[in-house]
Amino acid sequence: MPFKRYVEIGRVALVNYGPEYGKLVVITDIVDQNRAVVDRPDETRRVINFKRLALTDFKIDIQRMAKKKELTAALKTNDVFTKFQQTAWGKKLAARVSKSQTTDFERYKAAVAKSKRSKAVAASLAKLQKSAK
Amino acid sequence: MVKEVARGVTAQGRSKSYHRRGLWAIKKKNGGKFPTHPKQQKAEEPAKKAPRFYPAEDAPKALRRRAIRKPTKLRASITPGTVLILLAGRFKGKRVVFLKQLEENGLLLVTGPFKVNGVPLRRVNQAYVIATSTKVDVSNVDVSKFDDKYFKPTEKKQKKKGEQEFFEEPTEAKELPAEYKENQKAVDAALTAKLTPELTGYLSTRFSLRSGDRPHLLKF
Amino acid sequence: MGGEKIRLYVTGSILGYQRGKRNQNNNVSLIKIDGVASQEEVEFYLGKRIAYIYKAKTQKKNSFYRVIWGKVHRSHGNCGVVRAKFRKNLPSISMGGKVRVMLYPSRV
Repeated sequence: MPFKRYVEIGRVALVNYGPEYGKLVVITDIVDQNRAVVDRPDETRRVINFKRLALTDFKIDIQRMAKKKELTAALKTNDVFTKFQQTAWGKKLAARVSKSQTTDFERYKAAVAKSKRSKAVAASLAKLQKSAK
Repeated sequence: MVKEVARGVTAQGRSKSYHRRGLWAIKKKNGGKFPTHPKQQKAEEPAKKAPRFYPAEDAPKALRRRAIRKPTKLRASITPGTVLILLAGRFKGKRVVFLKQLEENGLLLVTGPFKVNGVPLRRVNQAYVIATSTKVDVSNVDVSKFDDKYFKPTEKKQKKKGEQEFFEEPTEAKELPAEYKENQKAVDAALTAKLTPELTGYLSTRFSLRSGDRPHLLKF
Repeated sequence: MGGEKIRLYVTGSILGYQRGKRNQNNNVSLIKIDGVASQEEVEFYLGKRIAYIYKAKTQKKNSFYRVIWGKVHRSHGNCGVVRAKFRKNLPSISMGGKVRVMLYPSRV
């Protein structure tokens, strides 16, 4: 099982822990075997431990310690952040966020819809079983 | 202000202060005298007769109450038409519609509607209620006649129970006067006209926490 | 519809009394509310009423169950534990037991 996602300059990662939880960042330099310098268009660059990062499939082409302007430009042309939202991983995260923001009424409607659906499924299954006998 | 040289002793004496404050100028402006208000004529009180009875002991004077009674401040999330979840009492978990806040005591007037979930016009304390973000249109509902007195129980006559009556079962069952039922029907009719079938189903279901629900993370 | 279980409380477990290593303050109990993992999350529960429910041998008011009522007082530490004060201090046998943290008085 070779590794597919490598820590390298330009690798896009998701912050997994801490106050910036859920944000996408780009690795712009490596400090040592545990830490990297990480950057984002709207934040100052900082050092972060790899344990707080989850690497994604995306990588952009930038120089080591790229200036903010170059980083923003590279992200714009690649549009990596929106591409990430469209992946299955990104969609799952978005679904989790939207579920946490549902109101009581929405939760009720979802429950009603779910029960309707499962009743329909059970009814058609019963029909199939009956015809199979 | 004037400096105090020692306790009660100012640096400027009486005449110095007079000059400093410019009282001579005020006097001059007013023709040699200080301006005065005409004395307020107190209305002549009719001559009172001495009371025939004096209490044996001086009755204690009641302390003046300085607290101003105001109704409880209504949470911003509660507006007329909001669906509320009742948290305690006989109807706990029921979702009801908020109509108005009663002025006398700040309690909330809510209704099921009765046809939908069995909650009649009722008073509820704000603290025992979660306000959801769902709102119902209550502009048609007339709640002006409902106030705190409407809900006060009728005074029960305190009968001295004789021995025989003590062993008798209480005979009267409390029947709700027809007027109350009519009022309920009127309010409900105005409300249910505005409810969609989804909302009716929503109001007829009770709220319950499920396994894994964290109320501090739930958005209502 | 009667008989369906409507839960309008969050369970919590009684960890013990407020204490240092060698002294304990029985007036304050420590409660771990389920699902609350940090001090920021405790803010919702401040002031909420807590019920410690236990069974007794004799009936009082037609029930074998009895309650000691209390309130969430303040947070305790970083990880969501809470200090609670009860009308009567919790009995020591309750340590490790369950408690119901009600959703009222509600500020939502």
